[in-house]
Amino acid sequence: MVIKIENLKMKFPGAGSPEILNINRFELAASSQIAIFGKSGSGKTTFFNVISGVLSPASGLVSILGTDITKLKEHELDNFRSKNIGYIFQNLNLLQGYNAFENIEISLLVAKTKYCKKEIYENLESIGMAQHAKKRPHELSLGQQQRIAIIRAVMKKPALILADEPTSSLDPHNSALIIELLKKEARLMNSALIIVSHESDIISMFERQVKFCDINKASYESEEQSE
Amino acid sequence: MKLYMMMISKSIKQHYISSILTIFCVALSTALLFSTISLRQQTHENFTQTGIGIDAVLGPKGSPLQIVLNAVYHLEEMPGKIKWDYYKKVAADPLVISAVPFCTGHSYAGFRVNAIDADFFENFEYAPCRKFSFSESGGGRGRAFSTHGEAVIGSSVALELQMNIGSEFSPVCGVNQGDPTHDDRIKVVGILAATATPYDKAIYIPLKTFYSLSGHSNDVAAMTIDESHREISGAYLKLKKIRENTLHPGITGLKYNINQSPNAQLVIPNETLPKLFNIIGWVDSVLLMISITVGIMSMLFLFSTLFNSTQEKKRDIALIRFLGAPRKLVFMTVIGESLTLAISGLALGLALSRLIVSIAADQINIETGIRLSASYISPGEIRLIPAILLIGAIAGLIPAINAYKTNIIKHLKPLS
Repeated sequence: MVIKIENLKMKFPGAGSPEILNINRFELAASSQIAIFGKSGSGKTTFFNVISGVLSPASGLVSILGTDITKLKEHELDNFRSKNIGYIFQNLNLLQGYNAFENIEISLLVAKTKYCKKEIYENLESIGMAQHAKKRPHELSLGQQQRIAIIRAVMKKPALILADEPTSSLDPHNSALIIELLKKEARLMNSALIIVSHESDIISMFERQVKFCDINKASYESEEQSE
Repeated sequence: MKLYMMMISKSIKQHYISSILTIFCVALSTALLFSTISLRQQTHENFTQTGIGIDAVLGPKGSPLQIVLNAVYHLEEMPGKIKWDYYKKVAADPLVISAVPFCTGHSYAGFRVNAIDADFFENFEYAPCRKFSFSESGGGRGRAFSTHGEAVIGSSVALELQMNIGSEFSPVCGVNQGDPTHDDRIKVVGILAATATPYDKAIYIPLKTFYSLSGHSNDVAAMTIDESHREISGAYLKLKKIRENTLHPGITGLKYNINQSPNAQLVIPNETLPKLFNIIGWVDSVLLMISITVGIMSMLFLFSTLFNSTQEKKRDIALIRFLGAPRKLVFMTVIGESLTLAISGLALGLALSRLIVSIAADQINIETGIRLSASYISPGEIRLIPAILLIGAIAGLIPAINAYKTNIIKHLKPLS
C-alpha cells in the first residue's frame, strides 16, 4: 500500500472550530490512479497537505509506504516528502527566479536524487519543452508551466503523485493533454496518482473516481448541513 | 553544496539591481574605513620611524615640533640659529655618540637645500641601521660632495627635476616664492639611493658652500673660515643607549642642561611626534566616525535588501520547503546570501581602498616625502575583515529567521 489512513481526525485551530477531516479508512495501492472530486471547502487540499506531511492531524494513522508520517520529526518529514511525494499545484507551480530546467534540477537536488543534465533535457524533449528549458516561468504559458511541474514531480520517481486541481487554469484541450501526460508519466515511474478536480471531463479520464464525502465523514456532514 | 550555492546565486540574480547597489554600498563604506585606517597607521608609523633614525635634534629655542618638522621632514622653518661653539660643546659630551651639523633655509625649485657636514653621508642613520648610499641598484649614482660648489641630491629631486650628475643649479635664499636667487652655480656630484623618507626630497650642499654663497652678508661669509662666529640651524645627534630604543638615563640631565641654557634646546623626535598626532588626532577620530557611520548605514541597507527580497520570495521559499528543503537550508541560504554580498562588497572595497591609499600616498609623498604603500594592509584592517563578515552575517539574521518561519500552507494557497 502506498497510502493507509485510519481514524484520521483534523480540525483547524481554535476552540469550537469545525472538524475538517474525519476519515475512518482510506487505502491506495501502488501504481493506482484515482480522481477525487467534491465541493469546494470540503477539505480536499487539507487532505493532500496531511498526506504530504505539511499539516499534522489531531489524531489517527497516516501511513505512506509503511511509514507513519505523523510520528516523523519535521526534518525527517521534509526528507521523506522530497523523496517520495511529487506535488502539482493548481497554479504558480514554478519558482519564479529559476528557469524551466532549474525548476526541475532543484527538485532533484533537494531530493538528493542522482541525475545527469542530459536526462532532464530528454524529459523536457519528451514533452516538447526542450526549447523552453532556459525560459523563466513568466515567459511560459500556464499549460507549459504545468508540463514542467509534471516533469519536476515525476523525475525524482516518487511513490506518490498528488495533483491538486492541476487543470483549473487551463482550457479543455490543454487540460486533457496535461492529464494524459500526468497519467502516462506516473505509469512510467510506477507512481500512484491522486488527482483532485471539479471538472467532470477530467474526472471521467480516470477509472477509479472517488467522491470526497464518501471517504471524509466531516465533509459528508458539512454537505448534509448545507443541503 | 550545489543546491546551497544554486539557491544563493539565484536569489542574488533575482534581485540583481538591489544586490549590485548593496555590494557597491558595502564597498564604498569598506573602502572609506580601510583607507582611513591604512593612511592613519602608515602615516603614524612612517612619521615615528623616520624620526627613529636620529635620537635627537639640537636646535634653537622655539617650538620643538617646528624643529622636528624642519630638521627631519624639511617642512616649516627653523625658529632661529645656534652657535657653533655651543654645538661643539654638546657634541663633545660623552653621552653624544655622533653629531651632524646642518643649516636650513634655502631651496631650489620647491625642494629644500640644506647645508650639511659630509659626515652625513658616511655615518648618519636615516632609519635604524640604515645609512645613505649611492648604489645604482637603489637608484643612486655618483659620490658625496668633497669640495666647495658641489651638491648631492635626493632621489625624488633627481626624478622630479630630471637632474643628473653634472647638472647645475642656483639655490634660492629662502623657502618662499619670490625669495632672491644666489648667482652661484652648484654642481650635482651625487644622487642618493632612494630611502622612502623625506631625505629623498632635499638637496645637500657643504656647510662652507652655504656660508660663502654670493649675496650673503659679510658676517655670514666670514663664518666660512671663522668658526668662532659660525652659526648653524641645528644638529642631528646620535645618543648613548643602554639597550635598543632605550636612551641612557643621563640623557635626561643633558636635555635639562641644554634646555636651561639660553642657547639651544634638545628635541627628541620620539617624544615630540606623538604630540603632533595628538594635535591632529581629532581629524582621525572624525574620519573614523564618518567611516563607521557609513559602514552602519551600508549594513542597514544590506539588511533592508535581504528583508525585502525575503518578503517578496515568500511563495518561492514555501515552494522550496514543500519540495523538501529543510528550514535550516532556507535559513542558511539567506545568511549565505548576506555573506556573499558582504564578501563581494568587502573585496571591492579593499581594492577601492588601495586606489584611495595610492592616490593619497602620492599627495602625501609630494607634501612630506614620506612614501606610503598601497599594498600594505595594516593589522587594523586585517582585524576589520572578520568583523565586517560577522556584521554581514548579523545583517542577514532577521531576514533569515523570517525565511525560516515561512508558513508553507499560507504562502502556497492557489492564486486566482
